[in-house]
Amino acid sequence: MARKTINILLVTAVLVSGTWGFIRLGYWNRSVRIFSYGQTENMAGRDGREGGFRSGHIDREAFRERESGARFRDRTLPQDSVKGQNRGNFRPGFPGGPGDSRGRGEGFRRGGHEGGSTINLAKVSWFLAVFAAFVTITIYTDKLVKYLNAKRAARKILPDQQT
Amino acid sequence: MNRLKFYLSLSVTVVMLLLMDPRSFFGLGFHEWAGLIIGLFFILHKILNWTWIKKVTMGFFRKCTARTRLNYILDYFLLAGMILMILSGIAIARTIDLSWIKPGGSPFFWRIMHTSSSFLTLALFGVHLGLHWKWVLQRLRIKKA
Repeated sequence: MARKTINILLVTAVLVSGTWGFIRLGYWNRSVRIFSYGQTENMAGRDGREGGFRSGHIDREAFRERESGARFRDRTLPQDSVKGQNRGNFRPGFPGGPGDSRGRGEGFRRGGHEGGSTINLAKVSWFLAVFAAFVTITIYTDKLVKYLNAKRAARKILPDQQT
Repeated sequence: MNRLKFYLSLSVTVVMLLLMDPRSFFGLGFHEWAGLIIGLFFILHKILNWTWIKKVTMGFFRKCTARTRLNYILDYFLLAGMILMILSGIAIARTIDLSWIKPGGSPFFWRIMHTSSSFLTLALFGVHLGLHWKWVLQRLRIKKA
């Protein structure tokens, strides 16, 4: 009896945490997102850019060209221009100042979220919870199907025995 | 053989969970390399179960039970998910230079494909493990064969 109670509590905990993780991670939306890709693509095209995300690689190349062009213009700014004077006034560590990685192709877009040697398993534990819930649901569904099959088989045998 | 299969399956499960978030465990470098290695592990898993695959493929419509058919179809989808996951991972790889096998198309598409296929594959993985739970308990010596 005690074993059964522990089992029920454990299964309930797994299912509750799994459901919570499922909602928290936006599991359903992220799973089926690929099936609504065409719609997302069309929406992306509405902002006036030709092709939206369809021409993502072309957009990225164009973006890089624009970026390098802007950097070249920045380098060749006349010293007496306002922008040119301001460039020297930024302090290290401040936005736009020396040491700021923005605009230099670093940070998230260039793989800056590599994280180094950090371990943060908080998000992984939510995935584990969802995974455990899937396993648990399958185990008990399997048991239910087996039980129903056995019952059906017993019902079939019984009339045979009567005759 | 069964022990090897068990440890292989266990390592694939653990690594798969660690790979679900690229930022959680040693960053993107680990994510990409371990993703490729998990692909090799998956192929090894298939090789180790090749006799079963061959047997079921030969008698899918004649000899198999409904459960075996379900397992076979599930494995088929798992394989498809794994291939899509690795292919899309290669397409959006940043730390490994795989430009020589880079498939075409937009990175945005491959990013969505990578997320969706990994989420769906993890769910299928859970169902697969659930259907083989008895085997797992037998390996852990909790249940007798």
